[in-house]
Amino acid sequence: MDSFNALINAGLRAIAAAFSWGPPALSLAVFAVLAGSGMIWAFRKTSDQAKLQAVKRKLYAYLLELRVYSDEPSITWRTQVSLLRANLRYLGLALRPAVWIAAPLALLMIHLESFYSRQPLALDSDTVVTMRLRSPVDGAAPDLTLPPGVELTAPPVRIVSRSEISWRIRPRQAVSGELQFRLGGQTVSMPIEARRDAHFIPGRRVNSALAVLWHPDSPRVAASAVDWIDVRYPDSAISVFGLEINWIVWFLIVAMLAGLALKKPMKVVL
Amino acid sequence: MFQPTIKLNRSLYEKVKQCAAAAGYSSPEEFVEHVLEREVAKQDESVSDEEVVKKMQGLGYID
Amino acid sequence: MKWLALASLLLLATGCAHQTTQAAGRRLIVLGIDGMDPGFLESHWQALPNLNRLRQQGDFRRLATTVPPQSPVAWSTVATGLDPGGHGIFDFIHRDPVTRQPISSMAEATPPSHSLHIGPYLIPLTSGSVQAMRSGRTFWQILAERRIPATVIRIPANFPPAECEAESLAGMGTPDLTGTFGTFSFYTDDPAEKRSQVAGGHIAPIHLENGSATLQIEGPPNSLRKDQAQTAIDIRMHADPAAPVARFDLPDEQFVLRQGEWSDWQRADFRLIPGLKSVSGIFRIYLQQVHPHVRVYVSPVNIDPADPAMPISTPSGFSRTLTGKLGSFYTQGIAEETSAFRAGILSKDEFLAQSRKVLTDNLRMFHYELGRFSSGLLFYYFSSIDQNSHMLWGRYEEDLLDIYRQVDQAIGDAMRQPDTELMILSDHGFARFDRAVHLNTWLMKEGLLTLDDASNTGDTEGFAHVNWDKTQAYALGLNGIYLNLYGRESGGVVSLADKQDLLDQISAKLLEFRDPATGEHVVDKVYFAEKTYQGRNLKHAPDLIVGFRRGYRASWQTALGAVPAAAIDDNTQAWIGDHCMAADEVPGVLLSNRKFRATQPQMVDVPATILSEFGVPRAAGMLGQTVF
Repeated sequence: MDSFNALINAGLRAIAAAFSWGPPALSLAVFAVLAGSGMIWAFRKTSDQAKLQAVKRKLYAYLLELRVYSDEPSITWRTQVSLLRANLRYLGLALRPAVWIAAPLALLMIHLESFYSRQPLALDSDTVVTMRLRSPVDGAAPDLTLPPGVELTAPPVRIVSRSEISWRIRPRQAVSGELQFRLGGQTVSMPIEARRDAHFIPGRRVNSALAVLWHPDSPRVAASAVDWIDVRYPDSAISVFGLEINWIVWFLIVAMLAGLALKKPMKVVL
Repeated sequence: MFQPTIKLNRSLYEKVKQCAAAAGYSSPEEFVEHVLEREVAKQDESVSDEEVVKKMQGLGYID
Repeated sequence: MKWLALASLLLLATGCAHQTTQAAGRRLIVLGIDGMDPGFLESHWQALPNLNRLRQQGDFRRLATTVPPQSPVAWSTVATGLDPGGHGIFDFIHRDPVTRQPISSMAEATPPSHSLHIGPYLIPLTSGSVQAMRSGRTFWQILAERRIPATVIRIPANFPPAECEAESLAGMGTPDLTGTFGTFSFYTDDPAEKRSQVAGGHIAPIHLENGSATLQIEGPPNSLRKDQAQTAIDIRMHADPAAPVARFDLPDEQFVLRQGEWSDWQRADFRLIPGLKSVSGIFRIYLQQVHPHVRVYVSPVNIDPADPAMPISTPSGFSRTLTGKLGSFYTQGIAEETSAFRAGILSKDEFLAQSRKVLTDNLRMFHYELGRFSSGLLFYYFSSIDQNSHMLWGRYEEDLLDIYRQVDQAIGDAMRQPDTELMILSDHGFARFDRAVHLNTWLMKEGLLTLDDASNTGDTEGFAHVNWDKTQAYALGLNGIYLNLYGRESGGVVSLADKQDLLDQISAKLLEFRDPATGEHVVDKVYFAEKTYQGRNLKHAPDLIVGFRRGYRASWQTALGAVPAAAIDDNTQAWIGDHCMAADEVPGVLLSNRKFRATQPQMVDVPATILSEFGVPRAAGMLGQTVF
C-alpha cells in the first residue's frame, strides 16, 4: 500500500512541480482537467451509450408531450409518470459508470488534500504536534528531536484519557524537515513544513492499514506502539479571481467544465 | 394611518399634565406612553431585575 | 438684477469652497484618555517626557468635568456639546421611575415585535434592535454631513454607534456577546471554591477524569428559541498528570498552554439553529494553575469584530476591515478585568498582565489608525489609565505610572505627525475611595426612608424592604437621590408642592453630614438637577446629585438600592480609586500643542473647539465655546 501511495504521490508531485510557477489554483485546475477528461473517458467506457441515448430521446419526447397536451390533464398525468420512470432508468444507467468513477476520483482527492488543504506553519507561531499511542500513556513522554530552526515552547502534555501526547512547537525560520520521536528503542519521524513555497504538506501519519487509505501522504508508522502522529497546520483556501474558496469547490467546477467541454469531441452521451 | 386615541377625564388629565412637566417629559402623551409601556413590560417580565444587575456588574462600579 | 443674483451666488459658492478647502487640509487628532488626572501629571512630568514637552510647547489646563463626573455622562457631553440635561445621561445607572429598579443608562434593547412559532423555535419577522439612550447629534455626525473625514474610535456611550458616514467603533457601553458589560468564567476543581457567582463573573466547578474535563462556555441566550435557552460551546481541557501544562481542544482549534500563559483570541460559533444560524464570539483563556487544582479563567465572550452579532461600527463593515488588518481585538466596552481582580480570582500582577493585553490591542489599532490618517479628524480613546487607576490609585503608584508611561509613548507618536493639531483630554481625574457611604441608610436615619421592619437592614438590593408609603427619598446609582414623587414614582408620596422644600432640606442635611469615624464632612456640594442643567431632557435625572468629598463615594450597596445598617463603612474592595464625587474635586485635563485662550475650559468646549477648527458652526443647542 505504501509503495502504491508513494507512486501516486510522486506522479502528483511531478505535475504540481511543473506548474509551481503559477498560483495553486492553476496546478489544481490542471489536476481537475485531467480528472474531468478521465471521468468522461471512463463514463464512455463503462456505460451503455446506446441505451442512454434511447432513454434521453424518450425524456425529450415526454417533455414535448407535456407542452403539447398541457390542457389535457389525463395525458399530462400519464406523461408525468412516464417521465419519472425514464428519469429513474437514466439514473440506473448512470449508476455503473458512477461507481467506476467514484473510487479513483476519491483516491485522487484524498491525495490532493495534502497539496491544497493545508498551509505551511507560520513562522514564530505556535502549533501542536500530537502522537496517539496504541497503549495507555504511562511514564515519560517520548523524546522529541526537532530540526534546526524549530523550538519546543512548552513541556509535552501527556493526555491519559486519550493516550495522546502533545508538543507545542514554533518554527523560527523556514524549515522543511522531520520531527524525530524516540520511544521504546524505536525512532519514528514526521515531516514538517514551514516554508512558504511548500507545495506538499503531508497530513496525519498513521499505523493502521485501514487508516492509511484516508491518510496516504506518508508511509505507515512502523513503530508498533504508535497509532498516529499529527501536526496541526493552518487551513488553506484557493484564491480564484480574488475569492478565497475551498479547493474542492474549485476542483469540481473545473473538472465538470472540462468534462462538459470534452463531451462532444469524445462523442459521449451523458 | 390614524393613531388610536384614549379618553381621560379632565381632572386626571390636568394631574397627568402637571406630573409630566414635573418629571421632565416633553408632553403628557410621552409621559402616559412611558408609564403604560412600563406597566405592560412588567406583565411579560422578559428581563428580570436580577438580569439587569448581572448585566451591569461588569462595569466595575457595582457589586 | 440678474447679474446681482448671479454675483451673490458666485460669492456664496466661493465662500463654501473656501470652507471646504480649509477643512479638507486640516489634520486634528483628539485623544480621549479616560481618567487621566491633572495632579498625577503634575507630580510625574519628568517620567512622562511627551506630555511634559506638550505642555511646555503648547498648553495644559484642568478641564472642568460634568455633574456628576462619570464617564458616560462626561463623554456624552464631549460627543454632543450638550450638558446631561440635554443628552439625557446622568449616571452609569438610571432607575425606572415606576418600578424604582436600576436600568442601564447607555442602551436599551427592543425585541422583535412579530415572530413565527415553529416547534421550539421563534423566527423573528421583524428585526429587534438596540437603541443608544443618548440624545443629541454628535460632532462626527456633523462633520460627516459636511464631508469632513472623521474616524472616531471607542468613544464611550456610543453603542450602538451613531449612524453616519464617518468611521466609528463603539466603546464603553458595548456589551459582551451575552449582553452584559462583561461576565468572565472561571473553572476549578478546587473544593475550597464554594462561590458560583461573583460580580461580573461566574464560577463553575469542573470534574477531572484522567486529567481531562469539559469547560462549558456560555454564549448568548438563544433568541430564536421560545425558552431562550442559553447557548454554549464545550471546550475539552487535558492536563498533564505532573507538569504544569494543559491542552485545550475547541471545536475547530487546539492549543497548549503552560501555567501562567494566556491564549491568543479564540473564535467560536454559538449555534441558534443547528446548521442554519449561529453567532460568532471571541475569547481568551488564561491557565492560572494546573496542580494541585486546575484553575482556568475565560474572558467574557466578546462580539466578534469580523462577524459582529450586534452593530459595533459605522460603516457596519468597518470592524471587519479592522480585523482583517489587525486580527481580533477586544470589542467589549470595558475590557480590563477588574471584576476577577476584585473577586480575588486574578492577582494584582495577573490583572496587570491582562490589562497590558487590552492596552496592546488598543495601541496596535491606534498605530494602524495613525498610519493611515491623512486629513480631517482622528478621535482615539484609551481606557487603560481609568481602569488601572480604579485598582491602583494611591497604593501602587509605580504600577500606575507604568501605564501612564505607555500612554505617554502613544502621545509621543501622535506628536510626531506633521502639520497636525493635537488635543488631549480626560473626562475626570481620580481620588482615593476609602469610605463607602450608604446613602439609603443615611436617608433612613434622617427619617426620609422607612423600612417595613427596622431590623431589615442589610445588603439586599432593589429596595426589597422599603415601605414606599412612608418614604420620601431614595438613592440609586453612584451620585443620585430621587424623591418618591407623586405621579412619577408609582405610589409616590411627595407632592409637587412640597418638592422644592424637601430638596432644600435634604441638601442642607447632606452638607452637614459628617463621617462618624473622623468628624469630616462627607459631602462637598449638592446639585439640584433643575438648576444645574440647562437642558430640559430630565426624564432620568436624579432630583439631587450628591457631590462627595475626595475619599468618599456612594457605596456598592447604594448603587443598587440596598439599605445596610451603618451609614458609612470602610471600602474594603480592591477597587480603591474612584471619581464619582463632587465635580470640582476630580477635574480632567486638557492639553494641546497650541495655546489656549480659555482659562477655565469645560467638557462642552471640546466639541465646539473641534467643529470650530474645521470651520463648522455649532449645531443648535450646543453649549460650548472654542478653547483657542
